[in-house]
Amino acid sequence: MIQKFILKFTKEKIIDEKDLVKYGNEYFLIDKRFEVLKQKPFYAGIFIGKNKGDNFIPSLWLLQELSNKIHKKIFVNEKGEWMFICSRDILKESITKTENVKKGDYCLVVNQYNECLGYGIFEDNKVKRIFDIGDFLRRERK
Amino acid sequence: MEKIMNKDFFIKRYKQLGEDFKEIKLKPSLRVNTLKINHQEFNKRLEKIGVKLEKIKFTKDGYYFDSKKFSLGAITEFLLGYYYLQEAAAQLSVEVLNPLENEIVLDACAAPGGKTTQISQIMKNKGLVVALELKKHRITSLKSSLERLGVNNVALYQMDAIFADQVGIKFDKILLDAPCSGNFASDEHWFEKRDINGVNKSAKTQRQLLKKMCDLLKEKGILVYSTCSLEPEENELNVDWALKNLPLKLEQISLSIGDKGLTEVFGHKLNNDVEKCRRLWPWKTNTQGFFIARFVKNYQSETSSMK
Repeated sequence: MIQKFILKFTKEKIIDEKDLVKYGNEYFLIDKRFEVLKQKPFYAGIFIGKNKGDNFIPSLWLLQELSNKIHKKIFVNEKGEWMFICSRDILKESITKTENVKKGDYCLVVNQYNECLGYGIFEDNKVKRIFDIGDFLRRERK
Repeated sequence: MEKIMNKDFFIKRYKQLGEDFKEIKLKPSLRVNTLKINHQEFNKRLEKIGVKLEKIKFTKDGYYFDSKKFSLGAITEFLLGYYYLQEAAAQLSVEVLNPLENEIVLDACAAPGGKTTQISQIMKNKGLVVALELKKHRITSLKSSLERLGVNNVALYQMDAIFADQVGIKFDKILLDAPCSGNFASDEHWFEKRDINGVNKSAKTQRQLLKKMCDLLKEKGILVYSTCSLEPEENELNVDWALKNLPLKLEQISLSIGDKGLTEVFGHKLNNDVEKCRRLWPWKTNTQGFFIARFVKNYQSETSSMK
């Protein structure tokens, strides 16, 4: 599911799936230092993301990693940034720049500092939000 | 009437310990996350959005903040993990622990993750941190904190610290920031909720945890025991108990804030070494109440007992 998710943005290999471990429905990249542990943990190393039904929800690390390596982005102004992290779609007036995106493409949403805020689908000069980092607050309220 | 009696009861205790109770209002504070941003950039970013920062002199990475326009728990910089909202005194126990990059460290009571992420930050994500949390509903916050702050050297278990030997390893350093009765500065209803029976019950659990943590330490390993309680039963009396019953000795804590640990408590004379601990009275430090002790596992005592 992870490779299927990454393919929405790039054909480049971002993670080698053989390096991943799965705890429940969550994926992690761990290295040799964790081998000393006799009991399997709940969470370890770099959190990559989790399966939720038929979807894959990426972690903040994976989003930033994608953002560092690919050029398929929408840049937004401060108003757009705020609206997006409050789980709203991005309207045309909030888009300051597009990078290699066309209608129907999955794209990363980044702010003026090139920091990844999430991703969506580019549609007729607006971005339909799929996932944003405001999720950190919303999941705590559940 | 009962509520007033509780408050009077505790205030009298503080008086017996040489202190005059005063109400205080805590200043909101945070800790910059140097895994993701340096102090200079962080100051610039927050200044740009109108947040005033004041360096907390007695911490390495702490700032008081003044934000009138919005909550600092809901902006992009928070969501990207550039800082953690953490009370000033609470930042001290990990600084006293001073975990090193190549060490294996245990955070025995980890949620919601302020001190766990601080440990990883000081270790620059090197080494290994094992974090334990018993309560399932607190695990969500802890996992979010680890992810948000870019921590990648932590293994997390849902586990009571009393059973920490199941992890199967011993540790160079352990932080036991123990569950405690809390204090009035961080909980405005504290006097209504607490009584001495609760304090004593808490102290008993803390002693069980101290013993377990000592067992899990490598020889010459370091154990930092901390609480956010002002009550000597949970602090100096437990430390005195540990010195009598466990192969531990105290190390001097050098902090520019707080008082020495109390060596005389309600007529009981304690081991003189207890003054090496640090006690923070809210009305003196403008922080929540806090107590820190740093122990080293006494190799010689252990080998003596093996003969």
